[in-house]
Amino acid sequence: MKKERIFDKNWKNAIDGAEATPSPSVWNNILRELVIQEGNSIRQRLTFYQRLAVASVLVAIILSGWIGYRWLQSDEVTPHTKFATQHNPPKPKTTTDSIPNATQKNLLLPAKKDRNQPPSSTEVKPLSDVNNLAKAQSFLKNDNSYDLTVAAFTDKKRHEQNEDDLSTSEIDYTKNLNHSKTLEGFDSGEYRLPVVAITSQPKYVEIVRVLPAIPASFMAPRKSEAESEKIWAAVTATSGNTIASSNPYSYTSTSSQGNSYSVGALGGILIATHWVVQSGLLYVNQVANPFSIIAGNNSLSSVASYALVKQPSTTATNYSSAYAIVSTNEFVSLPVMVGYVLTKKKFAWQINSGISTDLFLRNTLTDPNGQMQSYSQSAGADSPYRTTIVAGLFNNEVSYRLGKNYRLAIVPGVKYSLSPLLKSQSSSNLLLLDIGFRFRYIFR
Amino acid sequence: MLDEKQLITDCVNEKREAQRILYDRYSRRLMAICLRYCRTRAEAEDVLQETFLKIFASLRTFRFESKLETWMTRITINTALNFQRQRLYLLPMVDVTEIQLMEDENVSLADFHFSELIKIVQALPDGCRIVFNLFAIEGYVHSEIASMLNISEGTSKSQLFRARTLLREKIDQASMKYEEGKNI
Repeated sequence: MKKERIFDKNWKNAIDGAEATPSPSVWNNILRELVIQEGNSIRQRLTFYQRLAVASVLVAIILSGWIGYRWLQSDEVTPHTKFATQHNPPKPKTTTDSIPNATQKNLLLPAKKDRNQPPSSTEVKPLSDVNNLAKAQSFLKNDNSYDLTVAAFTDKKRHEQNEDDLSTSEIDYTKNLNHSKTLEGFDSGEYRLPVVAITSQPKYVEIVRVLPAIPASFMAPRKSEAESEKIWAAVTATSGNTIASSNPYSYTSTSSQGNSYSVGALGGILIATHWVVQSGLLYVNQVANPFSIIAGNNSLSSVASYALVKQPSTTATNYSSAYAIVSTNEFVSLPVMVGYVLTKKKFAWQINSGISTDLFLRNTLTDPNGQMQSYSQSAGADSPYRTTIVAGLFNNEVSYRLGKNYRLAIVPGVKYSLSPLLKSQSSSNLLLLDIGFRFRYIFR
Repeated sequence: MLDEKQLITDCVNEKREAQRILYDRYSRRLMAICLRYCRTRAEAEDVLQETFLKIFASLRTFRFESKLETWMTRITINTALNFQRQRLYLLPMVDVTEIQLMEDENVSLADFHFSELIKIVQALPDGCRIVFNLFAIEGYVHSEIASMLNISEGTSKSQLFRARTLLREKIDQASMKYEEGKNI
């Protein structure tokens, strides 16, 4: 025994602590790998920030749209009022209150070829020519002097006289002739603007609102359409990033990041004016690329994880230096969400919140270098993984209606697991930030 | 010259210059370890490359509880073992009959250059080479080696005895050649 130790000691003295120079290509290869790794890291970070930026822009657009919509709704002139105004023009609230009814009824007075003569009722033309009115409106906007060939009724007594006998009134039509301008393209010989005594700021806006620019049918909300999307079915696909508060594959790393995607089908129902309930079935795939410091299980060729070491029945795991592994978790997810519909027009915005019950299917550990065999672990009593994981959900659903029966939605969201994946852990909850699409078919 | 702590901090911050300094400072020492565990120089360089990538990736977890060189040596050995695992799995180690060494044990290795000794070690079968390195050079006991390689202690012991025998034979052969060359 002593001789053997001496033999070993001789060898140790001879070769331990020796040095050998590696070839220069080693550093070059290391450098290349480092650059690739950093590039991947930057690309992953960029992907996340790109998604975040897109989500931020979307939220900003949606918010501004919503605020704009609310602002329009809170305007004092509602679509109903506009509709009413169009057919029953309000009386101007200036001294025109004192204008005789006969004059008010005839919005335009006939032009006087002889301006000293009062207008006759036979020459009055109704304000039916929209083009002329538009030209007049445009002209008014461009000229603050208001010196159209408008007869000014400044004298209340004259108004009264005019009321008594319009044909014999002594209206001074020439009063503003010195300042008169002829509107280009506007037949001032035949038409005159309403006879208005302008003593204060004119209210152009009233004229604008009289314009039948938008058909009334568009102004009045069609209630039946807004509430007609009562039941729908949707296919959905999402992609996102996962962040775990601790790494379930290593004793050394403190956190683990990865990617996730899900596909599935959802159904929804409108239960109240603004409230919806959604549920469905999703396949969820989560991939992480952590480092493991545990290698080998029953055979030396398999990738092993922290989960296996924590498994009581496992005895044949070894510790090694950190090496990269690919860990894939697969679930079937059953989400149940309650949504509040903020707006539902051509564009719709809905906020959803709820819980998801994720049924664990399997975990697969793979060596990306291909040197070790993959290792899969499904759910069960002997499994280190929990069978059921409950997670909280929150997402925004912004959709655009395509035709009568379809909606395409973009859905940025957050998912936070309320229980850890491993039975042996009490923390390490998973946070998922994702963005997805939903294509909805509406049953009518 | 950067002190060790500053060097580690710079490496963690992915400063290329610091990474190069760390490589220059320790690569020769670690290369010698890799050569002991691998059959060829090319294989050893692959292991060294893998080792440094792991070191750079895990440096942020280094807690200064041990010497940096010790920590790096451990990573090198583990990387080398991982590298050999596939081969060990395909060619499992079997127990061999225990062989006692001959009387004349006190062989002097001082006349041999490191490169010659490394060639002798590299010529050992995989199982023997790894067990001999772990036991004789690194100082692990058989129970630890058995656990690390997922073999029985008996297998570890028999592999070690076989390694010693083979080494002895090869040293003798090399010595004879050396003597013959000297006489000529």
